[in-house]
Amino acid sequence: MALTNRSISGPGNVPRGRDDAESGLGTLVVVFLRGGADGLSLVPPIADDAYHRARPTLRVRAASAIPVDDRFGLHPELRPLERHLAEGRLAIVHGAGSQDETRSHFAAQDFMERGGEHGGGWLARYLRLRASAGLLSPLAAVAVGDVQPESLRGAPTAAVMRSIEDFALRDVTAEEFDSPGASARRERLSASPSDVRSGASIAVGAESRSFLTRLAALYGREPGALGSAGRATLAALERIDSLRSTPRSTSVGYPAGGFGRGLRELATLMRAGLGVEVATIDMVGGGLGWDTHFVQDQAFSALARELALGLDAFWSDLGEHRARTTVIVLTEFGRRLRENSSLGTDHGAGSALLVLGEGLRAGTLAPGGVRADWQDLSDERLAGPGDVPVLVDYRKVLAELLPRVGPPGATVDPRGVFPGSG
Amino acid sequence: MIGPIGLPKRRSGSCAAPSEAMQRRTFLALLAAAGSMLAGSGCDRIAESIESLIDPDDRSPGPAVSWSPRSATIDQAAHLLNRITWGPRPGDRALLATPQAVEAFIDAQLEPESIDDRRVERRVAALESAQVPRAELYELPPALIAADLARERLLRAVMSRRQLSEIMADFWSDHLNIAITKGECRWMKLADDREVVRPHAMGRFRDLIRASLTSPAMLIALDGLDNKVSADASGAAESGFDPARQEERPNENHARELLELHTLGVDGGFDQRDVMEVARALSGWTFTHRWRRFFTARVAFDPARHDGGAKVVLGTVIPAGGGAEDVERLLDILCSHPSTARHIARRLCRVFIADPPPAAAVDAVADAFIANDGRIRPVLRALFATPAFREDPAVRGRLLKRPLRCVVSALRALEARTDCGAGLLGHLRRMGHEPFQHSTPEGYPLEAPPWLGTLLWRWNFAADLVRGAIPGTSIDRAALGRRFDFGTDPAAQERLIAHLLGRRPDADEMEHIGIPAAGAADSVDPIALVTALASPAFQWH
Repeated sequence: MALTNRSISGPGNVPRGRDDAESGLGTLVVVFLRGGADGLSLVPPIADDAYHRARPTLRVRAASAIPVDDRFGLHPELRPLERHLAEGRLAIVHGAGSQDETRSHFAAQDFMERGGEHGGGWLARYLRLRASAGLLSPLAAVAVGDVQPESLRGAPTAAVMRSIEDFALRDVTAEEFDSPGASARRERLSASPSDVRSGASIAVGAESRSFLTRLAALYGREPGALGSAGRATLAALERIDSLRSTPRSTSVGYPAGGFGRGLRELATLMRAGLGVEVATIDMVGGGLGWDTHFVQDQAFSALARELALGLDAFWSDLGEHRARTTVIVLTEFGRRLRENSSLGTDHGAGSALLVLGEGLRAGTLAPGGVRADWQDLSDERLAGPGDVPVLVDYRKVLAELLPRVGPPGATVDPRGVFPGSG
Repeated sequence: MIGPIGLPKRRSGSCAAPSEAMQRRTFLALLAAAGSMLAGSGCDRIAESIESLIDPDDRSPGPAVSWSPRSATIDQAAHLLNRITWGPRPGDRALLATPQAVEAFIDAQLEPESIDDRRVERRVAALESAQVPRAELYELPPALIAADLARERLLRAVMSRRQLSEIMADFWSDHLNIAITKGECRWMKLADDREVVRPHAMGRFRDLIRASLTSPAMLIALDGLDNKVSADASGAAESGFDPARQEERPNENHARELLELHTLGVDGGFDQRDVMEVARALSGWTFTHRWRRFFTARVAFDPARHDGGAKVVLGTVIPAGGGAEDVERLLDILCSHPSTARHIARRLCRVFIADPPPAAAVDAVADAFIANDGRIRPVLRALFATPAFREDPAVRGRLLKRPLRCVVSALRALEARTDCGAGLLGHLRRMGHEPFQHSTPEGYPLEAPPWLGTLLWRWNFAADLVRGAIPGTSIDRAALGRRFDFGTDPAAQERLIAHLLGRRPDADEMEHIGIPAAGAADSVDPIALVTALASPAFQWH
């Protein structure tokens, strides 16, 4: 990249790479398990007879579960998360979810990502409020994937990318505009000495300066906030460009598939200190994903393995950025307690919500353990058609995590992020 | 299956799925099929309207040869075009050559009915949702409504000759913001735009707020439907509300936003007591989604849900027993309040003059608001007459374009052909300014800082526009070249850039944008064009 330091260094306020560490910028990574993940398989209540009775074929037996406490275990395929639990950086809230009662994927995902019956996403509202407290990096919000999730709808900035390469300035070259006739004419013009002296050659010379170089020059001389923002954007592009040539970490073993690939890109981006404050990534897995109506067992095991391997690898890959990173794993709803006749489970209500981060404080969360506000899953405690009740509003957990996001001290009022959720 | 997914859950239990109702679209499709068998002419008409949707062929009137700014700073004519329109097209500048022409231009924009706008009306009328009555909107997929609504906003901004009206429509859309994604607003926001914002955009403020107060989308968006008298519980079950989910007190959401955002402003001198009193005055409005198998989408006043007692708002008594007329008494109080005049004046001055708005201009506009009973046209006329707007060079080119304006002004400046469809919307979505998608009631921000994170997407938009990489949108560089006399005028390229910047480029800009120092370029240099659109100067207006 042909940027000189002179052209991009601007007065203050420019988010600088690697300086995320110095500024202590916190990042929230939201992993969404699309399809309604079965919390009772992720974190089975192994000591609850009602659970074992309702799930004769799908239950996780106490003997095979990874023990957590005297009530709960982890699905055996979540083994990679065991160390995080033991070291107190994994917190699980069981019976978490939203107030949406449609049991429709579409409605429940929207409700969750909007933070209630609002238009626009809760992360977007966070970013809007954050933006008034200080300049956001162009990469303040990163959505790993193909589409902007509902949670970022209406965000002041959102970079949707499958890979780091997607955050790029269009490469505008003279060649692409040349029709065959035009380039032939240029060659002909260049061949004639008299034409070389005239406009034709000058035009060619001007075109040879890249779009990027021209922008750097123009925004380099622009005063005020627009100039700062332009230089910050160019600086971010330059850092991203340097990442392109940086090999991704190979020491860390991500699981195969889109989830692992996306997390690897995200970790690379975050380690580079590019001012990422919120990031979203979906985990849909292969096959039918988390919507396990039909022969749940094998599909679920594969999904749980991919999830745990991905999170564990991501955590290792983050390096020193770990201290400032919080990962939350959400799903739109859990699944019915009783298994159905197709060896699967149907749409339910409460599910298990996972939070991964250093120094989690007890509140809604119980670091290193499971919080569940029910005694057992006997019939009278179930919600609706026989579902795990929603006893903890997921927004309470998110609101508690907000102070860990963004620059320290730039607190955003949770009431603005989740209006009316009180 | 529109209904079961899209309807908010609290009402979904009380009505059957809309898919059971008469499907107007199905009917129309059958009708069209039958018609095409019978009469070829009908078919041609359909083909013609589709063609007109793809190809606007909207060339600006005026001289074929474009006239670019000759001043090194933004002069008054360029300033007026920057602020009273969504951005100048190549022919526009030449139309404001004399002071008389400038006044005539302002007069015409203030009397939009005087301007023939049939071309854009034809385009808009071809949208699938355009002729669908309010109740039947429920038969359309929400995605189609969202696309049509955004497309109409863009089509009108780009093509309408009633440019000031379109700026005001955008202004009121933010002022009375309703996100299209909330519950039944997916359908009813379109009705709100058609019945509230557009008809009153250049009308009387009070009429606008009156229409908004009983607009289905606003009642849904601000929970006005949950606002009912405390004592009443029986009426709730009958009209399909789930009493278990209702708080047994008036819902204050609509009342608060009415005071804080729509009329007085946050520092307008009301307190929580006023909010509660306004909520009582607004109680009792209901919205009926359907009756048996028919969509009705009807707003009605239900005396049983209304709090009939006396209310005191900002020290003025609304007598007991007013019923539905409480709304009128309330508007008497709110719309004539000096805080409302100042609140609207401040927002108008911020959009048209400068941010922060100059105090003297705010005073003048607020005075005009009071003197003219909130009629928007004389208010705008007063704004356009303020020295700050008319004469002060320091405000010119110092408002940051929001992304919508950035995109529309580029399309207008280059006379792009555009379907204003998904390709263009994708760019606006990345910039965080997709029409009607702002989530909270205060609307998209008017101030600059929240938009500063969008530059990369603006740059990429510029590149994609010029290289023809936006589906449904293209520019014709050869035609643009002819417009600016490329091949004959040695200064053609500089004149084109001056047209984009609203002033002549300075020496640095000439160098960095890439303008040939001498010699006649025979065609528009695409990279210079991209750079000019991406340059800092083009982000201002």
